[in-house]
Amino acid sequence: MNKWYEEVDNKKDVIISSRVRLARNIKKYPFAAKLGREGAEQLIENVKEVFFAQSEQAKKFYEYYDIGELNSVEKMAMVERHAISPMLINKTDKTGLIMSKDETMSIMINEEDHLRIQSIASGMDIEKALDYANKIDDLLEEQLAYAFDDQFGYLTSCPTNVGTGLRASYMLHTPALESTGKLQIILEAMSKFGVSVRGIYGEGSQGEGSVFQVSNQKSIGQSESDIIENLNSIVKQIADQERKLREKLFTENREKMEDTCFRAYGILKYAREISSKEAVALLSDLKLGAEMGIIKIKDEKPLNVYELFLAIQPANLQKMSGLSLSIEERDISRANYIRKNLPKIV
Amino acid sequence: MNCERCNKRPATILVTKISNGKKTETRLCSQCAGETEGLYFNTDMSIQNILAGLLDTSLKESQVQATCKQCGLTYQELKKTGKLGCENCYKVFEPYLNATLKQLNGAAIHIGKIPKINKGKLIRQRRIDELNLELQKAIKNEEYEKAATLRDEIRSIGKEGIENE
Repeated sequence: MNKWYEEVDNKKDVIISSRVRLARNIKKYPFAAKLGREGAEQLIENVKEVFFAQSEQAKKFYEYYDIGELNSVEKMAMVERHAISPMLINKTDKTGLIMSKDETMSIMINEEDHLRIQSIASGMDIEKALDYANKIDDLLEEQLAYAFDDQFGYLTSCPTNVGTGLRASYMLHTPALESTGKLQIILEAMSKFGVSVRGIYGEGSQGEGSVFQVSNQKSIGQSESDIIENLNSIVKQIADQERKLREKLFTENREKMEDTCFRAYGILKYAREISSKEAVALLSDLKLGAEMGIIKIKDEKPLNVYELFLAIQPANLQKMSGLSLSIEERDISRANYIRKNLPKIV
Repeated sequence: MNCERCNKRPATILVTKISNGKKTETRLCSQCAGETEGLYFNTDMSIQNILAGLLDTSLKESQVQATCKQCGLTYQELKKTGKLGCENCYKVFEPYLNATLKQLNGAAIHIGKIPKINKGKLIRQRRIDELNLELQKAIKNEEYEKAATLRDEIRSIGKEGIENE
């Protein structure tokens, strides 16, 4: 039996982050498809005014970004960090973003819906994420009359979001399930329980480095807490299966697992040129190794693999270097970055 | 038909292989398929188990321990097979059944958060609907005094709504 503090650590492994988004539309404006250029601009001004007039805190902790004003590297970097969706940067009408400085809270304006209130928490803590999103929602609701129907709930552009407008999702790291082919079986079973699975960057994207997003499909007919409870119980089971399988693989073939993890560390530590795809795959092995206790990190600098994951994505890498880089230059700068930021091992 | 490998368990999986243009078919049980083909059909991650696990978390400890007194079916058995034992089981495992039905069906009526502005109106409307039903019942039963009280109550809620708006 694990001690409570060991438990806490244990829970952090498979589940990387918890995310919640609420889709809301404002009564007096048409939905995105019929909003038009002028409407889009008015709406942004309206939301900005309401949000920042609320309190001094809002001004202190939040910032507004005019998406059209950002350069393409900055925009892509935000997408890579999950601050905004690809849709927000591809729209012709004006789009905006209000985001907290720590990037945990954001409101996308004029995405598929007028407002997409988003909240991220690390580890398995979707209740906290929902709680924060609700606070922002309550704040806006006082000033902006939402499109709401007694039967259909919060009205959205796409009927798949109607009702609660809630999409709750977890980011999971499941290398053992993936490598043994079990993940496929789980994925097939999942849709039957109103849960969908996507790659790390949403719809249509591939699961890079064994990282997947799991989220609720239905948004109507269930209360917010029921939706979350359902998702939680499924995610807990996937995480349990992953942990059990890790133990099994470790006991059955310890040398192989150790070899994979140490090799990953070796390459990451000494490579001089590395592609994003290779780096992500190796970081996934390293994360597994650290969580299994195979690789022991020296105390002074904790290993946050997910942070590295995001930092070495193409746009974020370019943003950091402040230069526009060719693919080869990126591979070199990525290897440099990883070398510098990889903690020492015991 | 028994598994072609172990000859003991029933064959449940048909493995079709095409190599060098030649097609071979082997009928295996799930265990042999797992051992020889790396196919994890014998995984404990079955739909049944996922469903059961789902319900565990939504049920209270006492419900998980529940046993039907009439036929002796335990919650654990029900979890395994997904089948009920007798009429009384429906009462005993009602939470289980409700949860299962809710999982599988769902509805198109919003039951989540309501904006504060709509809240008062919605609550009033639901109360009026309720009272109207009672009113009809009262009239049917010729309870005219009760009907008059109900009618007044409906009117006053309606008026309150107009004032608030």
